[in-house]
Amino acid sequence: MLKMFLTSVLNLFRKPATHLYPFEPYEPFEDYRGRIVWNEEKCTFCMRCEMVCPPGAIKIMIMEDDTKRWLWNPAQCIYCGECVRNCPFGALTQENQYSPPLDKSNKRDWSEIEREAERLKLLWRERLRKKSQAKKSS
Amino acid sequence: MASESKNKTREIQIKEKVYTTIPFGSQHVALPEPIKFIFDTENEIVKEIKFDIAYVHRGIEKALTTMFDFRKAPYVVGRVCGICSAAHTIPCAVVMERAIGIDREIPDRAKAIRMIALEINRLQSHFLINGHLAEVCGYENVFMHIWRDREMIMDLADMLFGNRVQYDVVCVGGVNRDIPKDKERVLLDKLNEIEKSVEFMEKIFTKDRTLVSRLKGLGVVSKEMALEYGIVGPMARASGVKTDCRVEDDWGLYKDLGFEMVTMEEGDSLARCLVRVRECYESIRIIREAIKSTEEGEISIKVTANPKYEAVCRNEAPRGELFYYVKGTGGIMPDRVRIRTPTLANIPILPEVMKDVSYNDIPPLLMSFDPCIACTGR
Repeated sequence: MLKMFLTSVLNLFRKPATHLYPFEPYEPFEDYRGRIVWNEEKCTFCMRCEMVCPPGAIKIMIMEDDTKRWLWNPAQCIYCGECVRNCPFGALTQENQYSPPLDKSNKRDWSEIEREAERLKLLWRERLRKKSQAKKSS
Repeated sequence: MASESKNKTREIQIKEKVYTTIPFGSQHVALPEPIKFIFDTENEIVKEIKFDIAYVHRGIEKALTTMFDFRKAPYVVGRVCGICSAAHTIPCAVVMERAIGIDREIPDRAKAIRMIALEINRLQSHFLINGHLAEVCGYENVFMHIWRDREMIMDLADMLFGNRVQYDVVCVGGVNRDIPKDKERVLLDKLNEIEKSVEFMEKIFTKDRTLVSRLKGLGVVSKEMALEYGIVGPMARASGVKTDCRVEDDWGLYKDLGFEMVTMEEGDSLARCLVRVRECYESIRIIREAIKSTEEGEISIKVTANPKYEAVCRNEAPRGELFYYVKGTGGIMPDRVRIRTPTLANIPILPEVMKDVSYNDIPPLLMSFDPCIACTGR
């Protein structure tokens, strides 16, 4: 009984076990697997990251004028870090910060992007085939 | 006069047998996971139970043979269940290695890190279910204490592997992140704290009058019954059946580190709970030994071939034997993948055990069997 009384009195002065989030900022651990950051200068668009990504959260678009775009969907990403480990040029890094929440400014129709990327890739392959045929004939 | 007649009518009501059918689920506010029960009761005693478990079927086995190549498979099966994520990724990686034929070349350090991931997974799962058990017994204070201590283990996983729930540390051919020296030190310090909270948990579940009188003698499974129904994991070990896949199918270093099995003879809900508590000590010991026995070094080997053999792996998940089967044909995706989860083996005995039990004893009895519905649905 005395022990119980002492514990409850001492508990009045103890810190709570939970994190008082909005008042105390929460810092993730040093090696937390957070958002993926892409370095455009180092990237050669080898498509390795797109190939190894388990959920298909990375898409590379090859436009009709042969410019390329790297797209990443933070909502589909499982943050496993496979793309970062497999990048041969070190163009991808993983920060320890959480990815930003989706809102109107950064939300995109990912299924539309996937379809568009597939279509553009087919066109690109067709162009490559024609080029190589032209080379052969010349 | 009036009170006497009231008492009489109450007596008549109690003597009469009232048969009620209580449907519970598949979606219910009190259920954490979707499972359907139909209880046929006579007054307050449960007479018959029916189950429906395939409410959340997601077709992961089919997806592994049609959508994802074998290198992505461990990341996919990690999402079968949130509580036992590491317990799924490890046998999946091991079975793929066996199907390729490289399982003997895996470095010791990788095996040790896999063991650490699995044991941390087991610790948090056992803390979770024991807290839940206290909660359904109506002992919310213990629930909060145990879950507060569980947070320590989750933070430990976050520090080591980079995420609280999905460790994603295992890949085909080894593991993909090492544990550096400074983190090893933090891990060993934290293990001492966790050991203290396991001691607290053991004290509560052996000495506290409320919990012991509620759980003792509830849902007794004899050794013969356990063998007949083929139940697995801590539930079988609580009935005195010596079965543990860490010994039977050793993909790691368990035999080298001298693994000791925890068994009890009683077979009731309290014994099932205490087996889990005592396994926590064993898990802590194994993590310590695994860190001591290996040095930093090579953690993975290069995988160049595709799975071409038929292979099987049995792993001891927190809830019992987890079975993986793969049939490779030399292609990038296997021809067939089969996952048999521990809860599927433990469900057939439930109607037998729950018969002639009071309706208010059903929640603690069910929780002592530790059902994982997400695993079972897949």
